[in-house]
Amino acid sequence: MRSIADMGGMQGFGPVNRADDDTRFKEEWEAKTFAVNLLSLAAGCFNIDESRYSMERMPPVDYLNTSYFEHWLYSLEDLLTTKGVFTRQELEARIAELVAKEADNAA
Amino acid sequence: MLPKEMVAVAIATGAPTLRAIGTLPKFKLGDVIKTTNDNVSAHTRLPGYARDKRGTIVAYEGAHVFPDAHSIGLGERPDHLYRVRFESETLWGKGSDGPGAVYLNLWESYLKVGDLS
Repeated sequence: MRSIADMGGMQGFGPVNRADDDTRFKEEWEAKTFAVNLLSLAAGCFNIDESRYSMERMPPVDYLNTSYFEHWLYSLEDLLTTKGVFTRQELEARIAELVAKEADNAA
Repeated sequence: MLPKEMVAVAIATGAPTLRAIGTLPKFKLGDVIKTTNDNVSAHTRLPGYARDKRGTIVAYEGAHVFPDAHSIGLGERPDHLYRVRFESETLWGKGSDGPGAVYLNLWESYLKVGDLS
């Protein structure tokens, strides 16, 4: 599909910043997102083309405002819920649980 | 499902997509092709900037899983894959920054015989 991810030849974004070519993970959640994605592929939960197609269907404004690994996280959540590995409700409950735990630790 | 001991190998090299196919490739090296111009709603490996453009077949890569079908649950549907050369001027016209070319690996379903004017 001619999605927001199909950016080749699009203009107005300025030059590519090659100074930021460090490919190491910057945050722990990025490494975890990478690992869970690869293991989900290996386990046959979804295939690489479904993963790319999912990212392409991310709302365009969100796509432009988020980082590379946020795109991965978006497709991971999308595919694992639509394929029935867990439900959207289970995902939201787990997020709420972790947020509460973090608030407790900060207090 | 990938066996546990193969996970590190798959991460390092990618999962192979080369498949057997029952048909012969339609194009040969040096053939001039024109890409399709279809607004497909699935995932596709033909970028928008290379739609409806003339290019030259420079290599045959074998038959591979067809991403467009595979992205929407239609199975692997292997299709012949070629490396295609597009001249800069064909893609960018007067906005081209000089002589040069873009090479894309494209599936046969994206290609038509190119000598149609």
